[in-house]
Amino acid sequence: MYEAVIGLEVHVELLTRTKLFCRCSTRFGAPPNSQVCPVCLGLPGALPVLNGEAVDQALKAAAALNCRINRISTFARKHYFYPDQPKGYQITQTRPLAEGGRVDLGAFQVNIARLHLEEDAGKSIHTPECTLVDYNRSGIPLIEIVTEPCLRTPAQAREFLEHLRLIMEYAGISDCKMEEGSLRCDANISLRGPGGSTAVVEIKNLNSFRAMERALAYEIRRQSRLLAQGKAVAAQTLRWDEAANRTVVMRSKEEAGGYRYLPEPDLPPLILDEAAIARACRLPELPLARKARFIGAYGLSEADALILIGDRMLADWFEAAVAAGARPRPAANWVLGEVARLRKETRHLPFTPADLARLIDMTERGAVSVAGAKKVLAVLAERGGDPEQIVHSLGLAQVSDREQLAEVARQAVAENPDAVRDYRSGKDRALRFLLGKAMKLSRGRANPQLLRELVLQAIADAERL
Amino acid sequence: MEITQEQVKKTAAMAKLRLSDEEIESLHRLLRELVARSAGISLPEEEASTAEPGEAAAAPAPFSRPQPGLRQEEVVALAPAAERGFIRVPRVMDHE
Amino acid sequence: MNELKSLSLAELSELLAARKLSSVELTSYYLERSRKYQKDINGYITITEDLALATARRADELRTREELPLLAGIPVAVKDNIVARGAPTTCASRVLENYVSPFDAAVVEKLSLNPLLGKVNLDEFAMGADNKTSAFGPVRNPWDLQRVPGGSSGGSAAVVAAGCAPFSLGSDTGGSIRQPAAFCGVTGFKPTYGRVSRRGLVAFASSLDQIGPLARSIADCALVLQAICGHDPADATSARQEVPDFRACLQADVRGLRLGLPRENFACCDEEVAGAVEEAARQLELAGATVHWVSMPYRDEVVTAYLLIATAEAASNLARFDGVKYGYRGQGQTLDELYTSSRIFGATVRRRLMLGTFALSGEDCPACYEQGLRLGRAIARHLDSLFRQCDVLLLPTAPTVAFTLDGEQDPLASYYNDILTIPANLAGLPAVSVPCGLSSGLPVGMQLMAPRFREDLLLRVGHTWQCLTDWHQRWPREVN
Repeated sequence: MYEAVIGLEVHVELLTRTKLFCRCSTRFGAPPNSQVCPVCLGLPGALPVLNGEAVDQALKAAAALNCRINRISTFARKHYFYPDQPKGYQITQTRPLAEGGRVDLGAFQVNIARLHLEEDAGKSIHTPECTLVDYNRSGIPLIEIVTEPCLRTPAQAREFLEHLRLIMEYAGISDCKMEEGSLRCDANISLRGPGGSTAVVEIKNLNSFRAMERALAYEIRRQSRLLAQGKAVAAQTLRWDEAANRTVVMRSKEEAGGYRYLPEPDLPPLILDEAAIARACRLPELPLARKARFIGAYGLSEADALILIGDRMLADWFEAAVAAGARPRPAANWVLGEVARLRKETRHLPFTPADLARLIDMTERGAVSVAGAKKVLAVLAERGGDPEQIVHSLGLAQVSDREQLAEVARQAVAENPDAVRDYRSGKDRALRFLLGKAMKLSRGRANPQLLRELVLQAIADAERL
Repeated sequence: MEITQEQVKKTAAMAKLRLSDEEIESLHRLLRELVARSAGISLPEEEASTAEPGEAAAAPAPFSRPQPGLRQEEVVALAPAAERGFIRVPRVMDHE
Repeated sequence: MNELKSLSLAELSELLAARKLSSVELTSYYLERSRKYQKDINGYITITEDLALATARRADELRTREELPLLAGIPVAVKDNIVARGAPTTCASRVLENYVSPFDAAVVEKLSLNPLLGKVNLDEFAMGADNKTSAFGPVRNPWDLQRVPGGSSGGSAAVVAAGCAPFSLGSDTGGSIRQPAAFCGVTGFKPTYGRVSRRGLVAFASSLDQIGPLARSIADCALVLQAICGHDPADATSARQEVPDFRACLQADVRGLRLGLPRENFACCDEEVAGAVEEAARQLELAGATVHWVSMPYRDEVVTAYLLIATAEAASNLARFDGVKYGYRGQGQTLDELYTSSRIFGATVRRRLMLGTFALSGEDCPACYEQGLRLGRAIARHLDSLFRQCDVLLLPTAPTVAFTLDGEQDPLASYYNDILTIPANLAGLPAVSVPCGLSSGLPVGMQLMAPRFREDLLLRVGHTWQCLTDWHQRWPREVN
C-alpha cells in the first residue's frame, strides 16, 4: 500500500489598512481599479516602500506558528508575465521572514518550513470574449506559509488548514475568508510506497476546505490507480475542477521556465531589532489555549469546547454569558444549540449574552420551561426586548403553584377514568396521556416536574376514594 | 558551458520578445562570448563578511490611513483597452 | 539678451530676485533658442512651451509676494525618462510614445517653480552611449553636428551645450550623465547613489541609476544639487544622510588634497585625451594638491559586472511594458501574441533584455546576475582601498572625444568605452565630468570621483579647476 505525503502552501491575506508597498486601501469589494496608485499599478517610475503594519502582522503569524524569526530577511522579484501581475514580477521574499515553525494538533504535528511576506496580484475575470482585470487586489499583503510534507491524509490537511484559519482569526492577522480569497491553499502531494516515491504533483485552486479534502482524496485514488497499472505519475501542476469533481492539468512543471528571481534592488533588506520581535510575540490567547481553559475553568466537555473555539464569535458569546452570571454548562448548551441556530437563520443576533444569562436563570428557577425559553429566544432574535417581559406577554410564565396545579391534576384524573385504569394495569403510556391532558388544562404553563408529581398523587388519591 | 541556439530562443520566449533569425544568431554569438569572458575572470576571494556596513536601516514605519491614489477614470484612460472599469485583454485560456 | 545664456545660475537668480528679469522673459528666451536649434540638434522629444510659461508666470507672480528659493523661475530641461505630469514621458521608445504620467517625479516636485522647457532626448530607455537608439532620431553634438553627443543623457548635455537650457537633469547608470557632458563640453554631476530620490525615474538598472544635473559649471551644479538632494521616504533606497551646504563647499581650495590618477585609466585613452587630463592634474598640483599614480587593474571585470547587473535589472524593470495597462499595445489574439507584439523595443534594448533575461535564468552559469554582483563588490572594495591612498580620483571621463554618427561598433566592444565611468556606479560613488580641453576642436572631459557622500570634495576640486580655467565657458561655434 501507498502512503500519501502532503505539504501545503497557504496564502493568507493580512489585515492591514493599506497595501504592502503603497498607501492604497485594502477594502474588499470596491469598484474595479478604484483602489490603485502608480505603485500597485506598476507605472513607470513608481517605487515600493514597505508597510510596517504588514511586517507586524506577519511577525505575529510567525510567532503564533512558533517560527524562528530571521533578524534579516530579503525581498526578491519573481518574474512571470500575466495580465493581473502589473510589473511582470511579484515582490516576494527569498530569505524568508521566518522559518522552522510547528503546530501541535494533539494527534499529529505539522512542521512549518517557512513563512514569508509577498504581494498579491490583481484579479482576472474570464468572459467568453476576453479577460478583464481589476488591480484593486494588486499589492495587498500576503503571507505564504509553507508546511513540510508531513501530512498523511486529506483529513489531516483539512484539520490543519481549519486550525490555521482559527489561529489567524484569533490573532487578528487575517479574516481568512476563503470565499473572498483571503485564505488560499495549494497542495503538493506524492505517494510513498515500498518501491520509492512518486513525483510531486501540485494542486492549485483549492478554494474551500471541502475542495481541498476532496481534491487530495481524488489525487490519492488517481495516483494509486496509475501505480497499480505500473504507470508513472508525472510532475505536473493540476487544478481542482469543483464542478467536474476531478483534477485537471494546468501545465507541466518542466515547461514553467523558471521565475528568474532577482534580489529586489528597490528594497533594502528588512532588519528587525529585538524589540520588534518581542512586540510580535505578545499574542492574544490562541485557540488551543482557549480550549484548555474552557475545559479546565468551565468544566466543559472536550467536544463542546472544541466546537466552541472553532467559532470565535460563539466562543466569545459563551464567555460573555458566563460573565453575566450564567452557569457554564447550560450556557454552552444554549450557545451551541439555540444561539448558533438563530444566528444561522437571522445572520445576526439582536440580543445580548446577558439576555441569555437571565433566561437561563429563569429556567433554572422554574419560572419558564425550556420550551418556553426557546420561544422567548426566538422572539428576542426577531425583535429584541426584555426576556422577563416577553415571558409575561406570551403567557409563558411557568406555573409552579402547588395548589393551582393540584387542582388541574385532579381534574385530568377525574375526566379520564379509562386512562387511570390503564395506568393501573401497567400501561406507562397512559401516564403520558394524563400528563398531556393536565398540561393542556394548564395551557402549557405548568412546571412539568411538579405536574408529574401531582398527577401521580391525584391517581393515588382517586384510588383511595 | 555551451550555449545552444535553443537556449537563445527559449530566452526570447521568456522575455516575450519577437526576434529575427539574424538577431537570434548574433545574440547566440554575443552570449557565447559573454559566458566565455565571464568564465575567464578569476575573482578575488571575498572575505567572510562582505556585507557592506551601510547605514543602519530604520525599521519600516506602519502606514497610517489609506491615501487616495488614481481614480478609475485615470486608470482606464491610461489603458489601451478597458470595459466597465476593468482593463481588457484577449481571453486567457489556462489560468495560473 | 544674447548674453543671458552665459550667465551663471547664481547670476540669473540675482537678476530674478532683483526683478530686473522676469521668469517669463528668461523662459521665453530659452524656449526660443530651444526651438531654433531643435532641427539641427534634435535635443528635445517634446518642447513643453505652455507648461513652461505657466510655471514662469506662477513664479513671477509668487515673487511679488514672497521671497523664493534660489533657483525659482530658472527654466530646466528634463531627460525624458523622468516623469512629469502634463508632459509625455516616452523614454525615447515607441512603447511609451503617447504615455503621460499621472504623477511627478520627486525631482520634478522639488523643481516645481522651475519652468519645464521640455523633455529631452536620450537613448531608448537610457540604454546606449551615443543617443542613436532613440526612437525619435539621434541627438547631434552642438560642437559638430556630424558627431554624437554621447549618451544616454545626450539631449540633456546637448541642450545645455547649445545654450538652449541653463541646466538640465539627466540620469546616470554607467556614465550616462558624465560621458555626454564630456562629449558636449559641459559639467555633468552624478551624485552618490541614494542622494537624489529615484521616485519618478523610469528605472533602467535600479541599483545603479542616479539622477543628477548637467550645467555650465560646477558652481551651477552645486545649486542644482542643493535643490534636488535629500532623503525621500517614498524611495526606500534614498539615503538618510544629511545634505551639506554645497555652496559653502565651493569656498575651500585644493591645498593638501591628494589626487589619485589610475594609471591604467589613462593608458586606455586617446593620447590627446589622456594628455589633457594629465595636464589638468599638473595644474591642480600647482594649485596645492598632491598627485599620485594609483592602480585600477580591472577591465573585463568592470565591463562584465556592468553588463550582467545592468541588463538583468533592465530585463526585470522593463517587464512591465507589456501592452496591458498603458503604453503601446500590439495586435494579438492570444496573450503571448499580445506581449510580443506590444514589446516593440529597438534593437539595442532587445539585445540587453535578452542578455539580462539570460543572466537571470541560469544561476549556475558563469554569466549570471550573482556573478555580476560579486564582480561589482570586488571593484567597490578596490576603490575603497584607493581612497585610503588618496582623497579624490582624477581620470578621463571617456577614452575618446565624441565620435561620428555613422560609425558602427561591435556591441561587446562598445561597452569598453564606458570602462572609465562604470566603476562609480558599481560602487555608488559620486563622480563628475568637467571640461578640461579640446582635442581636434572637440571637448575633453576630466572625471573626478570621491568616496560615498563626499560630493563636497568633487565640488572643491572641480570649482578650483574652473576658477583656474575657462574650458567650461567656451561655446561651440555653431550656436554662439
